[in-house]
Amino acid sequence: MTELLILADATEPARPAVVLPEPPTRRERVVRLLRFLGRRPGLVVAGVVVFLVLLAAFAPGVLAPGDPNTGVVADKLQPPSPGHLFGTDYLGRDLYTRVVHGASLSLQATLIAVAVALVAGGLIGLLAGFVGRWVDEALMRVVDVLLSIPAILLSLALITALGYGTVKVAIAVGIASVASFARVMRAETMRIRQSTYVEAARSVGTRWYVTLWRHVLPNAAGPVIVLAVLEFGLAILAVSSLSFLGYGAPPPSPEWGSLIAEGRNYLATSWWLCALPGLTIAATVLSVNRISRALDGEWGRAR
Amino acid sequence: MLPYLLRRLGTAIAVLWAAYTVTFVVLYLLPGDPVTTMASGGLDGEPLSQAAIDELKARYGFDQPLIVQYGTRLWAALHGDLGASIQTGRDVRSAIAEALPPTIQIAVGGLLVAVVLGAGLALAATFTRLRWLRQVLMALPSLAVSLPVFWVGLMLVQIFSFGLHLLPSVGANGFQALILPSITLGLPMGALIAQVLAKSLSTALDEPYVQTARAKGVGRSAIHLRHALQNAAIPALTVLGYVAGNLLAGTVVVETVFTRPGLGRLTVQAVGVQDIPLVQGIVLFASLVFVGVNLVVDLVYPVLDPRIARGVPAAA
Repeated sequence: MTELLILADATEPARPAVVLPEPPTRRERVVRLLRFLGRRPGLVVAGVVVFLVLLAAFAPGVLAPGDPNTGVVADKLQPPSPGHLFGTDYLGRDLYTRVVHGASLSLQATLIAVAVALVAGGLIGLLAGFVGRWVDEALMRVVDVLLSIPAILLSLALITALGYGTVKVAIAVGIASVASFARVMRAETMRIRQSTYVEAARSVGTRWYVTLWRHVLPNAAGPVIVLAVLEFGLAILAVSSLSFLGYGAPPPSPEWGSLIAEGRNYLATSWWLCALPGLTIAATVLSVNRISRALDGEWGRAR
Repeated sequence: MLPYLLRRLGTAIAVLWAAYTVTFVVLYLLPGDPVTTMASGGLDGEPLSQAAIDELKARYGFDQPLIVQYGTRLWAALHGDLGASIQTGRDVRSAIAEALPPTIQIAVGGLLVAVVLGAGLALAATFTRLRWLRQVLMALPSLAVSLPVFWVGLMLVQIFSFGLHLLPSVGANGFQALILPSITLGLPMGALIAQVLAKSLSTALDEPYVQTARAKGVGRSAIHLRHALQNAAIPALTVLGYVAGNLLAGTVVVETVFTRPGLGRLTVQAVGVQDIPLVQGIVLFASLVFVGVNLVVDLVYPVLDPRIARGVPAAA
């Protein structure tokens, strides 16, 4: 998380400073970071939650050493207890272990979705903003159309064509959110294309693709990365919705959405089966949104 | 006024045509054709003979080149013919029309919940003088949009149906069965309205005309409701159009959670059996609603702010 914050600082557009301040020493930066976080306990909690979720996604064994797919049938439908933090399901499987192991599937899908949206949307936006004229017109009309079809229906249409599965759901969600990336990337590219340093690069005869790669892209990336973090939260929700509807991985695998769909049958008697996986999703999305807000200039404003 | 209207109408038609093209590309171009998809794995899993596949393809027109298919299908769609469902053989248009009434009920209910909740929250948050209350109220929308919709629905069922035995958990009988689905559908949309309206209200309250009104001795609530709200309404109206246009999409999850019949359930079933004409029909219908709602919103703007129709750049 520290890395992310510093990244936001680095991509902050340079302000026209009248008096250049001394570059902060390492100690000053650490002090500033600690003060920044100390005033924002919510952000710290969000960072911890995201860290735990990432840990669960990449090394589930550290948090829950058990097997998510085997259970003791005699212990079925046990409420949460110290032995089973989230209780057990109808086959006696430990729900906590299943949620932890489900994180890798759900997060994998979310990452793919955001990556698809970021790369495709970013390229469309970059091209539209950099080339301009009719290319811009044509690409932006396509983007308008994508925006006029409600996202979940566009995803469902794509799933109809592609079929079921975690990766296909992820691609469907990603394509449905290409439009917003394209818009932001285009706006940034157009802003930067008019800046003096791009003009200078052109006047010394830099080739257009070098200009694009060396000057436009790094400077346009900031707002797009903020959007990507925000979109990450939305993608978690979209992926889990589609998985809840049954389009994700087939049953034994513990995707977050399908965990809730399974728990739905025991809603009247075993509240934890729906409530706790849902709270996990909600906590993750809230934390990601909080971090995205922090990246969106809060660090810069807190000077 | 008339040129403004015509321009908007033209845009709406162009968007619809493009939406048709996008769904066509997605559904017909991507995996080959639906008959092969159906025949290979479909529902019963029994592979069809080549002759049967060819016959099916000929019946649904999938043996034609894609560009011809696109032309004939678009021409038919222009005449209101969206083809027949592959699963049931029924006319797509009448299947949608039949599923629509229960969906309209929760859509209206959800919209009502969204507007009352959103406007109420925004007004309360900007009206209160208590700093902590304002902060709490303003935190609620971002909390609400972070919750998975299906989970909210299930938790409502758990509390109000199984816990308190107040409301039915499933079905579409009577007004009582409408309450929980409407809340589930309206909650995230209300949060969106609240965020936008609260922001534009607090901007409007800083404007000089509010100071003038206050100096004249107009009461606080009158300033809030009459002066600020009217000027803050435009961004909120844009969001309302977006929200109303997306209501149908929201019903996909809500109708599954509450096991209600309707367009959302029809969508889930159609996707489940890869019923391509039906899916395309529903997506087209949803974007028709989206475009229609936003056209209406575009027509309401000039009523609220006459500068828009005359092409004067609006200050807000």
